[in-house]
Amino acid sequence: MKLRILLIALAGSLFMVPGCEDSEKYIDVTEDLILIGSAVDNGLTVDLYSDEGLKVGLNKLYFELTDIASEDQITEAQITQKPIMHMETMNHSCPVAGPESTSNSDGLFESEVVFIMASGMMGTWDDTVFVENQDANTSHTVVFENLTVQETDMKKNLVFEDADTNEVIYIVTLNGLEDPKVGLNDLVLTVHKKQTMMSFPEVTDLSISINPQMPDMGHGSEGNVDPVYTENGKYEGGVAFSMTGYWTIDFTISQGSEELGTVQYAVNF
Amino acid sequence: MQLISKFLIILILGGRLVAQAGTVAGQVVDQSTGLPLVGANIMVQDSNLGTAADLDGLFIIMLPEGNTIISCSMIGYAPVTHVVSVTSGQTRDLTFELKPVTIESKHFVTVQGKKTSGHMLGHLQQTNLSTTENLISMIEGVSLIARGSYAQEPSIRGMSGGRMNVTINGMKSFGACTDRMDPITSYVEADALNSIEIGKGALSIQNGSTVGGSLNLTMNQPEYARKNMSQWHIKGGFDAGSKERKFSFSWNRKTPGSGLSLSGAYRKAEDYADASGHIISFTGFEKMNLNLGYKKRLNQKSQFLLELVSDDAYDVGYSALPMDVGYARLRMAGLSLKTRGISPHILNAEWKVYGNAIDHWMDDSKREDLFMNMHMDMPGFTRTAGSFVDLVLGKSAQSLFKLRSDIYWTSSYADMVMYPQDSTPMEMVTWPGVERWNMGQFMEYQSIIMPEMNVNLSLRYDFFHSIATNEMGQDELHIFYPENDLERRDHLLSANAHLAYNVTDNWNSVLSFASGQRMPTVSEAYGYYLYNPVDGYLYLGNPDLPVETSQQVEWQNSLTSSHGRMSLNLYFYKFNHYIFGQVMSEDAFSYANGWKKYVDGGVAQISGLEWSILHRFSPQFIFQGGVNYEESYLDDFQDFLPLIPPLEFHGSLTYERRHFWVQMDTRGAAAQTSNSKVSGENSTPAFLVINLKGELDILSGFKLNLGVNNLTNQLYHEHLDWGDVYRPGRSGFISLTLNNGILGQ
Repeated sequence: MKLRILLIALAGSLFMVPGCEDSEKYIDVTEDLILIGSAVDNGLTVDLYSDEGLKVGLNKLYFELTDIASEDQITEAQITQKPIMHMETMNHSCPVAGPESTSNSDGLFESEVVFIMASGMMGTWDDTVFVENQDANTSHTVVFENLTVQETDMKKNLVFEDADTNEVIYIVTLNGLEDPKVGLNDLVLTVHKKQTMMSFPEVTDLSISINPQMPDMGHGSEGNVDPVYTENGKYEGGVAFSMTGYWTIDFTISQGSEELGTVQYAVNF
Repeated sequence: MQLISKFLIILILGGRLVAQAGTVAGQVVDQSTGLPLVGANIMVQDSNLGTAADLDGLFIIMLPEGNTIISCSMIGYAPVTHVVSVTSGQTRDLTFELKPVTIESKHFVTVQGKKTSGHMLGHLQQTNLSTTENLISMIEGVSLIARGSYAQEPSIRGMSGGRMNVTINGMKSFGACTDRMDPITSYVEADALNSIEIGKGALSIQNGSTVGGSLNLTMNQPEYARKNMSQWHIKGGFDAGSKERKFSFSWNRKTPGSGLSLSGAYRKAEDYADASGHIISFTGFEKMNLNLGYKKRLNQKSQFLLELVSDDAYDVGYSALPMDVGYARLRMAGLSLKTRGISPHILNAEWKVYGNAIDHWMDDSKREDLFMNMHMDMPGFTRTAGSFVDLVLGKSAQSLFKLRSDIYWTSSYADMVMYPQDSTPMEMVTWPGVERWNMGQFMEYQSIIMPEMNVNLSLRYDFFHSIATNEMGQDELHIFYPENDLERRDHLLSANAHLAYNVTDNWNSVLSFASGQRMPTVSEAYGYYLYNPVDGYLYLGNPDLPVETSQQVEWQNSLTSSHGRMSLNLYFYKFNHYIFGQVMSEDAFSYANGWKKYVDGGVAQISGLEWSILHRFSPQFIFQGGVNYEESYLDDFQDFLPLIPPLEFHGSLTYERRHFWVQMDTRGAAAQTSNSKVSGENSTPAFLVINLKGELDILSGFKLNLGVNNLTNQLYHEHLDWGDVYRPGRSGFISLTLNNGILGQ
């Protein structure tokens, strides 16, 4: 009984808290987002949001810049970010795209980050953000430390040898199947080349074919859409699950006429 | 003014009454069957005098002295005229024997009369162990599709499933099995049947639009009696082959103002053996059926009727399939209000509301060899509710108008869950919660245009609204039809015309034309990967399918003599947008041959003939026989149609006396080699089986049936049997009937 009252109170507070912050000036879209962190530097507040908790794979990150003195949102600024994983013996970054220098209509600067490792015993992630506000002619640096990045099994390495027999690593992540359903599911595959520990350029010229299989039934499915390149290392396609159960999805990746290899994912629902 | 005219009429009639002197009392009967014709009109020429035959076909009419011309007419018969002379105070007998100018839009099997009757059905005896399917298959051109020894599906001239319209007392209901293992006929026990009405093709469209035919099962109804009385019977039977035990009972309470009837049947059968003694596993079943009817007279002209039907089958084995039926359950209720003579022009009116629910559960828990090595659940549900109004309008004895307005709603849902060992259960929706509305308007006009010629015209319009409502099912179909909203509206129009002519005194000829349409079934429009064990393919529905249409021409001839009848029907059907499963992929599945999609198969044709004969060598010795043959073709696929029966023939010889009868009957078919290649059909060899049965009234109210099926122990299966499973070998049966007659009432 006590537990139930507690739960009701807790649920109530969840609805109440954002309500208190409501501003009458505009609809606060950040209510639907998760605040990752908030940092202040030289009269500027930088808020970092994401759609959901950070996870291994493709993450959409949003920056909101607020001038502390005027309480105004800043909608034009040059923002660069550098996520770094700090491990015992080394540091490395991950694929990053954006943000653009103009905010979206909600005043948020959108960017994409592909985390390639979870935070935890192995190391910690932080994100260093440089903001150059040309209108006010100020620059700011803030660091979001100790970011929690959840593990998923949606990141795979595609390892192959190039023409000069050098080992090449493409980092592949599968996104969009967090909540799979029977029917056609949109999916996004990201492919980036691991050039150095700090540089992960997108790969834009791949042809990818999709092949879902149901090992318990011995069949695949009809109606799949091969992923095709859109932007920022993303390849968008669709997978059709004809029923619930355990599925594997093979993506066979080719560059020009050469087949680089196949990465396999498992989906169970 | 009105008052005056009433007086005038009375005066005139009164004047006539004074002049009447003699009486004619008589009966109107059907010349071919001898059965009384209820409601036949008897008119005195050049006068206003007339009467109608009562429930026993009897009439009494007063006539003036001297010669009078009396005519008798009834729709469906050639009118007859007699010159009668009566003298004062005299009563004369007069029998009108009317010759049918038959419009063969429907064929009837009257079950309760023990013998089948109606057009050319002649003389097949039934026993206590006969099933509804047995009775239906006695009609020329009707075959059964067998998936086991239970719940065979009727097929009219090779057309079944969605091409047919099956109703119970006019009430729509739809099987809940995605594999058609529960045709509606399987939910009705033969004991509870009163009659079976079969319309071939679009010749009968009162109960719904169709291309292949209609089948209406009429249940026994409670009856009134002049004074309070009760009637009952109990029956028991045993078949040695399948060890089938059957018990049934009925109880009727009759009073002048109300009637109550209760009947039930229980059947349980084990696996049977074929002619080589090999036990065919998974052919047993258990079934219980209950029916309740209550009828009450509201006034002289009106009555209401309540009908309740409940049917439960358990552990029904399906030898041709990898799984069985755990249970199949029907609950049905209907309430109708009937009245006659509302106005001078509305002869009869009936209003009915009804509803029914069918639950069907496939089960493989009894199997050791599991399909794909995993257990599966396949439940299916249908819910149906509807209403119709029938009106019979008539002004003269020469023509009649029938109208029916009907509406129903039906909902179908089925899914499938598979349980692989040590892995995640797999679920898919196979019928995506399809909701369908149908509104229809039917009208029929019957007329005697010449004494020897009848015409009959029918027209039907239907509106259908269909939509898939289950979200998971919608997502599944959207894989294949991404732009389709899975909702459709269809307008259907069907019509037919019959012209019947008595060419000579004993030659009746009917020419019929029909144009029919039918909706794609739930499986055809919205089914999702439904496995068909006959061809080993999975079938995908197609919500874009057009409405299937048919054109039908039929020429029926019957010859009658004092010793019997003979008839020959020739027919031809042409279909457009014939719905057909087209192979889409052959290597997609390890456990199936591939998958097919229902498509517009283009033009298909069926043509054939039915010949039947009934001959009475002596009053006790009767022969009945028939042959039917048809051919089919599907133009675009250069293929034959599937499930087309081969040349079939049957014959029976009956010897009957007052207290017993013996019948030997034979059934056979030629080999079928015109097989549908696309459907993966095999050729079926010819066969001939002989059955022997008899009945003896031991005492008043105590009857014994004995018989042997498959007397010569033939090893055979029929072309329409799934999985080429052999039929039972020789088996004897016995049954007893006890009724209240034994108490000497």
